[in-house]
Amino acid sequence: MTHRPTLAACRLLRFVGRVLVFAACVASVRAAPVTREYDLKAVFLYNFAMFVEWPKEARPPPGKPLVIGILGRDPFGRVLEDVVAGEVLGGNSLAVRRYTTPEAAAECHILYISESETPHLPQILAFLHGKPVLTVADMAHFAESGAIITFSTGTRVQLHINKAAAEAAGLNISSKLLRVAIMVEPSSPP
Amino acid sequence: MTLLNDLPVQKKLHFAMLLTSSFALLVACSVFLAVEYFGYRRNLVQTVTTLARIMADNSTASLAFDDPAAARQTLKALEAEPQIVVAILYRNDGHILAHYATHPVENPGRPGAAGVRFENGQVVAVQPVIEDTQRLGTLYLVASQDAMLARVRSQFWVALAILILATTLAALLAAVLGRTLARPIMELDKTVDAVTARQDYSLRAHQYGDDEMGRLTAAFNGMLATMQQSVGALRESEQRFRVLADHAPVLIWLTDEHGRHLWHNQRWLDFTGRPQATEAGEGWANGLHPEDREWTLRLFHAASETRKEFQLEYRLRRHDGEYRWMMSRGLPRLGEGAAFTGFIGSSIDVTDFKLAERAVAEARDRAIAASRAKDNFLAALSHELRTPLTPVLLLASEEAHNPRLPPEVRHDFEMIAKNIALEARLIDDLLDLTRITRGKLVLEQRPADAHAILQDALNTVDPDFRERRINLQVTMAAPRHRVLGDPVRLQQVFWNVLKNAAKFTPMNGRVTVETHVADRNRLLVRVTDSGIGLTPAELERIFEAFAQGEHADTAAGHQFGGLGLGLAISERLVQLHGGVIRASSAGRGQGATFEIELPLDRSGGEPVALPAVQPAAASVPAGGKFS
Repeated sequence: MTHRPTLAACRLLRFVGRVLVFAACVASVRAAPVTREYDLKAVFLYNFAMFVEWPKEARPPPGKPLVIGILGRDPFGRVLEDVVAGEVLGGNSLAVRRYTTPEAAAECHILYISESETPHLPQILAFLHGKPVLTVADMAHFAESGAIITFSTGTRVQLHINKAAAEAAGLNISSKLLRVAIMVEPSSPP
Repeated sequence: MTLLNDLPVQKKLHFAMLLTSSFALLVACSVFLAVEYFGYRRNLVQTVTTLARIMADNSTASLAFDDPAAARQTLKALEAEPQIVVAILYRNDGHILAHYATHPVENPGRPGAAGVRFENGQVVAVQPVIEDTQRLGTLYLVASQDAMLARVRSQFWVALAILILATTLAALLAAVLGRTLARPIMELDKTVDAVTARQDYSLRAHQYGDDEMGRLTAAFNGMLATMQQSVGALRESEQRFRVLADHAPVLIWLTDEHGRHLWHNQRWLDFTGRPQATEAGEGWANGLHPEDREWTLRLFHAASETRKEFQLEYRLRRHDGEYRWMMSRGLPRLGEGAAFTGFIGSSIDVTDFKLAERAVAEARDRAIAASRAKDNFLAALSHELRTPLTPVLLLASEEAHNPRLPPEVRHDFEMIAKNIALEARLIDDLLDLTRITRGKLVLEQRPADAHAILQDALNTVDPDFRERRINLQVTMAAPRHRVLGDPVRLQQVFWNVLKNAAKFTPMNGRVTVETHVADRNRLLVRVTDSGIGLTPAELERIFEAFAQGEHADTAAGHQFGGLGLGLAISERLVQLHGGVIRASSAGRGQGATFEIELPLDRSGGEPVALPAVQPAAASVPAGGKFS
């Protein structure tokens, strides 16, 4: 039979429990964005690979790495490499590549468009539109970037997903990912 | 169990049925409850596992993209599952991303190993959260068993209610059934009691049905019928015995195995004039003659030891006070398995018989004494009579042939000599008979030629045949004719028979003498005459002493005197020689035949002494001498 403590002990336990749960929640949410915003984003970039399905022809063949690319100035340093090092997803290892031109970047699977490329963003996105590349942008000041996934940073890193863009790219985004993200209206391409 | 042994069968059956059904119900209910409990438990585990998997799967993105709100939203779906009381989503670093609780609970700190376990009466599921192959975090679920236990508890009460109801019904049924089943047994029991109490074998047990109990009852009734018959037969037999014993002409008594009297028949009681009660045990011995009492009782005790048939005579007081001699005879009574159970005896009054016996014995003694005196007298008398005759006979014979005397005188002397010779022979016969009777006759035993002896006898008798002109035919045909015996006495036998034939055969009659060997080793001498013959009555007494035929006085034989001793002596002599003499006749006027059979001598020829007979003293003058 279930052990039933006395009423007083019950109340004490409830109070202590509440305190602990609250503290834990606060600690876990707060730590990442304030101290290591780009560490978290690096992990997120890696995590996208788990929830996104590429069209058959774009999928990396076995033995070839799934490529995470960075266009423009690299804000991650070695962090992204550390995150993907040794990881294997769906039978593929992961690789990090840096690009300077959108043309070169079209070969990768996930492309982070750095803040440095913001002025050229419409051109870049226009070029990559319809290509099986998951474009990820950092938009601190705009509601949306036009990229498939946009990071917005408030108290925590929030995801915005442009579903129309994803569909245009032939990418299938898991509903689980959609559930934790904010859907945005597709922006008209420039 | 010994307590159960003494219970009535009905109660036993009742208990057995009740116990069986209760036990079966209890087992069934227990199994039911156990199956229910474990079924619920398995269900709960399965539910919790499934929920944990779904929750974990739905929480991957929340963990991957660090979204507590989304995670909370996911966990909130658990509100639909009231048994889930706590759900906590841990990140890989051990921090809590989101939690859900129906009521506030203590943070377990770390979720523990993956899997489902029971902890503090709750089901705890720890499910790793994995997307693709990446471990993103851990889901910690706690499900309460309270709802399940409540259901099990309510089922327990239902089961208990069913158990009590069913047991009560079973008890009622068992009571009814037990009574029905036990009825034949109770009936048998009742009948046995009644039969035992009343010794009434005509009672029968009622038979219910034709099952084993029914057949048992039938068999029991059959046994009762047999018993009734045998008891009836026994009573009848006993009745017969009493009637027989009471009306038997002898006194009958029974003893126990120690020789004490148990019972006497009516005749005994009538004889002694005392009732059964006082005669029982050793009371009957009070009626014994004081001289006989002690040894008689001792003998009864001894007989009880040996357990053998016994016989004794004692004097018993009759009702009129007179002591009577009783001859008693006891036979051992054998009970079942040949066990000795006492004696059955009979007693008869032998007083009269004893008196008669004594009288007879006395009369016989007197007769023997008288006979002996007579023999002695006869011997003395014969001797005294015979002795003076010899000189008279010698003198008369001498004078009869004296040429100097005139013929008339000589003729007188001849007459005197002839009559004295006759008288001497008669006296000799008497002496012989007396000797034989007193056992004083001694025979010589030696081989002798019977033909020669017969011829001598014939020569001696020849003048008689001539005188009467009897036609004598002699045929000595026996190839062997040597016998063992006393020639003088054998000649006397032949002479007697021939003389007898001559005596009773009329003038010009016919006498045949022949010899044969009969039966290989016996010599047969047959003398047949054509005389007056013998009647059957005469034949019967022909060899008795002094038993002349009635014709003896009338016939011509009168001149021979005739005390009738010759044939009697002859018979004794032949018997002493181991032979036989027979007489036969077709009747009066039909002539007579005498046969003498003697054993032939089969030894060498030396004189042999027969053990029964002393060697002859040869002092007795032969009868033939005086003819």
